[in-house]
Amino acid sequence: MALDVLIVDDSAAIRKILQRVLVQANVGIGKIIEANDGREGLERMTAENVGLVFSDINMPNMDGLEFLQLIRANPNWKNVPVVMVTTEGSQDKVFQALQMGASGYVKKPFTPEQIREKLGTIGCAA
Amino acid sequence: MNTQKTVELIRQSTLEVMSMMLGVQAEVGEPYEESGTTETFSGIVSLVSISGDWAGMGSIYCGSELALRLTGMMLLDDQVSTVNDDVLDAMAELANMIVGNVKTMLEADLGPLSLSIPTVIYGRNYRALHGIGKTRVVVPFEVAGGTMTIKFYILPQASANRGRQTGVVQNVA
Repeated sequence: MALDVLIVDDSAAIRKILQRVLVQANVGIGKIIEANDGREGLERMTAENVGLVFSDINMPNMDGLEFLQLIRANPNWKNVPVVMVTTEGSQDKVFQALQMGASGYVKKPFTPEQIREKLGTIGCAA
Repeated sequence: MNTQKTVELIRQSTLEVMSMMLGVQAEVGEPYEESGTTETFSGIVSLVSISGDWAGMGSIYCGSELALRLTGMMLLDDQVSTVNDDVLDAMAELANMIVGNVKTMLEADLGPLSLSIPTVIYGRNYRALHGIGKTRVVVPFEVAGGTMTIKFYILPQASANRGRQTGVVQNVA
């Protein structure tokens, strides 16, 4: 069954690039939903049936770590895979995200192959 | 912070971002150091600041025509013809990735650092005065038929706060 994917990033360019990569990956992606920050992301999570999340960490209003924490605290969303896509390559924030229940992370800049590989590791490969 | 090492980190980060996100090879020019006010500029400047025990700023200077080409490459869109929100956003994200990766590499020596949300300035005949009183490393890159220039400085927090650090945009038209 196709998964609806939520992309949360304050950069429209990164959202577009990720969207293109996900469509090209041909891994059974359904609707692609976008949000500008964690707060908008939570609104989309509530309104849609999201099956997979890609989220930036460093965002205004609500950052990716707080967003992740709120997703994991909600019984309806606690099993939804969340992949962090971030320039925050420092072990500190990445380790924090993984401890908080992130399913993995992709460092910016990224290649389409890296995104496809990450989809494979979380069980979304074609 | 060693200038030669800073230049190398900027080089590595920029080449990686250009290659992976835009599919284009950049060529690094001759780096130099700059202090005092910058020359009048027309185009786009994207600024990202770094904070922690060390503080500083990275900025990317790019003319409008080059910004259009880089955005087109990044979004795989050959219809990008005017500097709009998409272009400013793409230039902000380029700065975020390039400076962010430099920051990550610096953390091995300097400890944990934080990155700001990027700020983008677009206009004609202005000076972006940032890191006032600080010596900045300047690294030009030839890419996609134009020159993109990266300016960077980082200092221990106490030195970074001495004098006027805050960025100023001055219209000199």
